[in-house]
This record gives sequence, C-alpha cells and structure tokens, in this order.
Amino acid sequence: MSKRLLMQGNTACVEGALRAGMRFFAGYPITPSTEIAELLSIKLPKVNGKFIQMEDEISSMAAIIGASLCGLKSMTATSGPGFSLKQENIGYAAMTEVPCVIVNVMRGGPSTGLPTCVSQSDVMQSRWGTHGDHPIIVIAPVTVKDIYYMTIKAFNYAEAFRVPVVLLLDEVIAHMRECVELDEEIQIVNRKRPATKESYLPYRNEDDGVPHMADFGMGYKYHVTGLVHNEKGYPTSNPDITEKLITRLHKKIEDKASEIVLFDALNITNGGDLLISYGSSARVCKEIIFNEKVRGIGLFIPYTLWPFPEEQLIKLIKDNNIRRIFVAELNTGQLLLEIRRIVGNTCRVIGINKYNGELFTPEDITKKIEEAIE
Amino acid sequence: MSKKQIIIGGTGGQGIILSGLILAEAAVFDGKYVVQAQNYGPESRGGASRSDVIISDNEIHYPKVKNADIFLALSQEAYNKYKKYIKDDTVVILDENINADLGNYFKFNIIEFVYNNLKKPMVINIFSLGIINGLTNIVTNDSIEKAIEKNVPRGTFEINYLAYKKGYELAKTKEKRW
Repeated sequence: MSKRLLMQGNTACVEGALRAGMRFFAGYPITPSTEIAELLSIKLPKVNGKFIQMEDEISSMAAIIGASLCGLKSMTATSGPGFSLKQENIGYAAMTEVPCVIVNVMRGGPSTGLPTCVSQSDVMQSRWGTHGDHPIIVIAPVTVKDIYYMTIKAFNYAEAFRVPVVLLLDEVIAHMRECVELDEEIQIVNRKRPATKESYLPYRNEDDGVPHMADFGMGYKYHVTGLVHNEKGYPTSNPDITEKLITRLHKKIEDKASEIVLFDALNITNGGDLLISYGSSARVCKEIIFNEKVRGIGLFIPYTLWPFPEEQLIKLIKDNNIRRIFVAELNTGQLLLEIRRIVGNTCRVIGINKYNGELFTPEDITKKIEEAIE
Repeated sequence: MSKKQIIIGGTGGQGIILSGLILAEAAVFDGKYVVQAQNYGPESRGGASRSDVIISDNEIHYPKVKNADIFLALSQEAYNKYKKYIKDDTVVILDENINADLGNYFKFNIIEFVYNNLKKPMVINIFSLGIINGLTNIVTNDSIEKAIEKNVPRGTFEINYLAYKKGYELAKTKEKRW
C-alpha cells in the first residue's frame, strides 16, 4: 500500500536519487535548487554516502566525475549561473563516458537574472552548453511525482549508456509541493562492470556501443582523458579512431532512442490543433485541456527533450491530421526551433512565450491560440 | 467543496510559506488533492512573500491561485501586491494596520494580539492559520494539529498549537458581515 505524502519537487529529486542508489553529491548551493543540497547534507551521511559542499560549481562537477569513476552513482544540483560553469566538465563527462546526473533548476537569466523566479530558458544550453559534438540526455518532469521517478530514470540512463544526464527542473515545479503516492516497484540499472582484469580495455566497443566500466583504483589498467582516445584510453589524433569514437558516442544513444524517449499525448483530436509543452508550462496546458475545455486541441508533453520523441510526434501529426502546433514555453522560443526542425512544412508551428519571471496563466495561452485562429 | 484557492501574504521572514505548507499538509491528511506554491523575492527578510494553497477533490494542474476563495494579508505591501486575486465572494482577512480599498473584509489585530498575549512574534503565521480555519473550517482541526506538530521546529509545538487555538477562537467571535 502506498502512502499519500505532501512533497516538494526538490525533495522528490533527493528521494529519487537516494532510491536510485546515488551515494555521492558535490555542489555549490544556489536558489532555486538549494533544498536539494540542504536535504542531501542531512540524508547522505546516514546511508554511508558522501556530501561535499565544494568551493564552486566547476569543482563540484569535477568531483562527481571523480566519484563516479571510482564506482559511485553521483549527482550535482544547480541553477543557470552554476550550470554555465559546469559546462566544461559536462563535456569531459561526455567524452570520458562517465555516468552522472546534473540537476538544473531553471530560473530567470541571462547571468544572475531572476534568482527566485521561474524560467525555461536553459533548454538549448542543456543540449549544447558544452562544446563539441556530444551526446546528452535531458529529462524535464512536470509533476512532483514525475520528479521522483524521472530522477531514478536519469540515473538508470546515465548508468546504462555511460552518459551525463541533465534533469531539467524549473523554479515552479522544484519549489511547489503536492500530494504524491509513491509505488515501490522500481527498476534500478547499474553500469556494466568488466568480468575480468585480463585484457581489459576501458574504451572497447561492446555490442551496444557502451564500454564496460571498471571502478578506478581497483587494479584495472585504466587511462582517462578528455583528448580523443583509443580503446586503451590513450590520446590519439588518428582520423579513423577519432571518427569511430565520435560516431560511437552518438550512436549508443541514437540507436536506443526509441527505448529512451518518454512522452505523453493527451486529448488528441483528429483534424485538431496540438499544444506542445514541458515542465511547469505543461501543467498550465493540462489545465486548459482538462478544465477549460478548449475544443479541438490536444497536448503533447515530451519528458525527454533530448533525445526528442521525434518519430512519435511525426506519427501523431500524420495519424491525426494535426493542423497547427503551439509550443508553450517560458523563454523567447527555444524548443520551438526543434519542433520546427522536426515538423518541417507539414504544419504551422506557432510559439507561445512568456519571459517575465512568472508562470503562464491559462488565459495567456488560450488568448494566443484564439488570436492565431482568428 | 470541489476546489478552494487560498493566498496567504505577508513579509518575508514571517513564516508565510511554512503556514501554507502546514495548511496543505493538513488537507492531505483530510484526503484531498493539494498543491502549495510560493512567490518570494531574493531577500531572506522583508519584501512581499506569498504562499498559494489549492485544495481540491480532483487532481490539480495549474499550481497558482487564479481567484482567491480565502485571502489573508499581514502587511500593506502584500495586500497591495496581491489584492488583484480578490473577487467578490473572497473571504478577506487583514491585519488591523492595513488600509484596504476593496469591498468586504475581516480585520483582526493579528500582530498586536500575538505580541501582547503570546509574546512570541514567530507564531504570527500559525495564529493566522487559526483565524483562517476559525472563519472557514477549510481543514479539520485534527489534521491541522498533526500538520503543525510535524512541521514546526522541535520544542515549539505547544506555543504554536496554543497560537493556532487562540487564532481559531478569535475568529469565532466575528459575525460574518455579508
């Protein structure tokens, strides 16, 4: 029997991370993510985990990479300004294939912007914040319950694919509390470790493109570098090896995209319009769909922003003869660009944007839809 | 009750968000769907601060209050900033010192009463909860007692629960004006 609890979004992230087996957190507290660090500083020592408040965001990111290399599931939490500082090391984690989870609770930007106000303006940064072609998984929950389960998912994906995973929250869903019922039947994924020290190659291409990962310091021959490297982990600039590595880094995610993507399609009507939204904005869209009964409009919620449920969206548009798409987000139009790329000329894509530090009201969105229909 | 929307507004540092949290948790104990959201500035003390609580028999999507059914303000700044959420039949509860320019309201000497009778300004938020529940019975007394016990700092339950009861009793002395 599950129990109904009142839980804050940031707390759900902490509970989910602990449930997933996270035992190392390094961070530099920042609003609106502070509760995550605060709670973990109390809870982690009780489960023999390590909590470290580092000197800054850069070292926090470096610390969780180090901890993960040594075998612990690790996480950091931040907001825009800190997320910017972590980017260099996020690229290092992508290149060295170190599983880790980065929580970014979005607030108004750019720069220190609006510390206590909601925003969704780090969407493109979560995909392209670090330089170079790199794979990444980005997950954006909508409810407090989602945050719990999707934090676990974030760790499962990080471990399964040896990739940094960004859990993209925003001030509203991170700070709000709502009643949740948690079900304990959860699948936990752990990284594949090598069976034997004999002939271990830390970056050997296995069938699924994900090399087996030994815990650093356990006696395996192991070299880790941000430089392009061969199967032993040693630097190389050989063009063939370089191309193979970069291809593998992408394909390990692309090939499994259909298993990774998470989305919801609600109230889809044939020949109707479609709202696309994520995070706290998707809650406002749900209000419109379920309680304001705007006719002939459905809602598509991508929970994985990367990889985006592209095929699923294209099929939905085709199968239901969708006429128009509205992308509602708290920025000047970021996911909008992705949707336009995916949809091409098949239907009109209109952005509904707000970036004044406040959440949409349902009227903000219905008004824009009505204007477009006129 | 299908859906009730409550705004508690005051000055940062008055425990506004905690009082919303306690009200929300009490409603969860009553078996309701609940969302509690907040709005505050970068100051740790001062500035207008607001806690939104929505209590419903059904799932809640939009987490902010659109039209308040219950509106309590402890400071002029909070009243001015959030009065746009007051509608014709909102139960408006104000501290005596607030100059109100809208319709019907209940005024109580909240801050003065707490200073004179309870001598602990930190229980203003829980005293206010007593007033809210005395006027509206939005949650059961048993649930709110449990919620206070769970959420106030250790060793302060007695003074907080006393504050709740005093607020509740004070509210019961007022006749509904409309």
